[in-house]
Amino acid sequence: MKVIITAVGKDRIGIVAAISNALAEVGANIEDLTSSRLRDEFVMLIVCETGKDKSFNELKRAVVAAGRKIGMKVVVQREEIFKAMHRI
Amino acid sequence: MFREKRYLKLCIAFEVNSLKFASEEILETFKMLYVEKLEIRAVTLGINLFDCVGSDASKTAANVKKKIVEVAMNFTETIDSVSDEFGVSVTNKRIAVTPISFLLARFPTVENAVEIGFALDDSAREVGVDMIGGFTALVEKGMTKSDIALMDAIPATLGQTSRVCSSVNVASTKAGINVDAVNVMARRIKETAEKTRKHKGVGCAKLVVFCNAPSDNPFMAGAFHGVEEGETTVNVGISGPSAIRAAVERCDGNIDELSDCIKRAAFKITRVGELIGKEVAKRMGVKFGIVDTSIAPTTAKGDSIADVVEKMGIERCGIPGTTAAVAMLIDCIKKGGMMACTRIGGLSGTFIPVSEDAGMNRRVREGVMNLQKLEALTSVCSVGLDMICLPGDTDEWTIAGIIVDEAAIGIVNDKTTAVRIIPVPGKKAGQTVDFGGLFGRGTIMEVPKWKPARFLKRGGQISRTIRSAKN
Repeated sequence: MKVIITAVGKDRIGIVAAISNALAEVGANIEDLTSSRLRDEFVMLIVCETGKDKSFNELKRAVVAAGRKIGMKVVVQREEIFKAMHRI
Repeated sequence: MFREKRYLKLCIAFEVNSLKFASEEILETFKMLYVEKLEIRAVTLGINLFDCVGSDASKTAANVKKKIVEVAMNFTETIDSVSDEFGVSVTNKRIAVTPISFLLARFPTVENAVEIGFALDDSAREVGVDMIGGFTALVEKGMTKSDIALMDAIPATLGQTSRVCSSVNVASTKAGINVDAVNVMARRIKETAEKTRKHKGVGCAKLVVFCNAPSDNPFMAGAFHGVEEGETTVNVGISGPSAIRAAVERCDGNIDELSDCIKRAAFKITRVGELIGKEVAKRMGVKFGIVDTSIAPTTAKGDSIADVVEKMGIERCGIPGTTAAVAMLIDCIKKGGMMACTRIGGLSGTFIPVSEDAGMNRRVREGVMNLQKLEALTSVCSVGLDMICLPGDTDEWTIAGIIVDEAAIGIVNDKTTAVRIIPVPGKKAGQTVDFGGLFGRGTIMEVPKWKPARFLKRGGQISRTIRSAKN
C-alpha cells in the first residue's frame, strides 16, 4: 500500500533521520521525499510503500510517535485521497 | 503502427507518472483537512426492514433490533478505520431505516408504534450510533391506519427515546399538499415540545415535516431508507462550510471567478466524500448509495453558512442580496459536486439550521435575519425552515401555516422543503434557548398573532400544480 506522509513543525537537526529511521524499522520503502524550510518552519513530504506483512496502522503508529518525540505534527494518509482530490 | 504503439507507451508512462503528486497538492490537502477542518459530516447506513414484520408488534420489534444490530455491528469501527487511513474525520455515524409506518400495517396502534420506536433506540445504542432515522410516514396523498398510528405515536416516542428521529412527508410535487396531515403534524409538534418540556422541547429537533422528502438523505433528523432503495446502502453527507469559506476568502475576483473557486473546492470535498463512502461500503460488503453535497453548518466557530455569505461580500447575512448569494453558493457546490461524483443525491441543498449555525443565530438576535427571509431562501436552495425556535405559546394553526407555506414552495418549485421548528415551552420572542451539543443555541423568533385557522380547518388536499403534469 502506498502512503503519503506530511510532517510539519519547527526546524531542528535530525528530523529527516528520525522519520526515515522509523520508516526503516517498519520495513517501509521511501519512494520520494521532498522537504522545504521557511524561516524556522520545516515541511517534509514522503511517498512510501508499506513493508511486507506490515499494516498501515503499524507504520502510522511508528511515524507519528517518532514525530512527536521531535515536536513534529505527522500525518499519514493512503495515497488514494490525493488521487481523489487532485486528479480527474 | 509503430507510432501508435509508441504513443500508447507514452500514455501508459504518463498515467503512471500522474499518480505522483506535486508538493502543493499534498500541502493543499493537508491545509483543507487540518487547518480548514474539512470533514465528512455524515456517513449513514440505510437498512431495509421490510423482512422484519412478524405476527405481532413485539415480534416485529425484536426482529427490527436483531437485524439492525446484525447489519450495523461493525459500522462505527469500519468508519473509524477508514477515517484513520485517509486522515479524514467523520463527524456523524447514523442509521436510516425503512419508514416504520409500513411495518405497522398489520397492527396499527400507537402502543405498537412506540414499541418499535424503543427497538430502534435500543439498536442504535447497541451499535454505537447517536441517531437513527426512519420513524417515518409518507402521507402526501392520504393517511393509512398505520400512518395515523405512527404520527400519533411521535410525541410519546420522541419523549421517551434519545436517539430516534422522526419525519413525515406531507406534500409532493406529484400529489400536492395533504392539508389534513399538515394539521395533524402541527399538533404533534406542539405535543412533542410538551413531552420534552424538561429538555426545552428538544424532541422537536428530532422531528421533520417534509415536502418531497428524498429517500436517500444521509442527514438527520430527516433520514430514512426509502422503499425504492436496496437492501443496505451507505450514503454520505459532505463537509460543512469551513472549507468553502476558506475558498471564498482566498478569492478577490469577480463573481465568475468566485464561482470557479467554490466549484473547485466543492469538487475536492465531494471526491473525499465519495472515497470514504465507497471504502466504507466495500468493507461492509454493501452498496454505495450517494453523496449528498449539501452544505451543512455546525455550532463550531467559522462553520457557518452566514459566515460564508458574509465573506462573499454581503455585509450581514439576511440583508438584500443574501438570497442571490446563497443561491449562487449552492449552485456552484452542486456543479463542482456533480463533476466529482456521478451519484449525487439526498437533499444537496443549503442547510440553515438556525440554532446550529452560530453566525446565523447572531444575525437573528440582531434582527437582520428573520422567519420571512429564511422562508425566501427556501424558494431558491435552502432545504427548509430548520431548527427555528418559536415562543412556547405559538398556536398550532400558526405552526400548520408555516408548514403549509413551506410545502407550497416545495410543490411549486419541485424541490424538497422541510420544517423543523421548536415551540420552546415557557419561552417568549427575543429570549434565547441553549439545547447544548449538536443542536446549539437559538433565539426565539417572533410570529404574528393572527392565525390561518379558517383556511386550514377546511382540510382536504391542495392539488398538484399544473406545471407538475408533465406527461
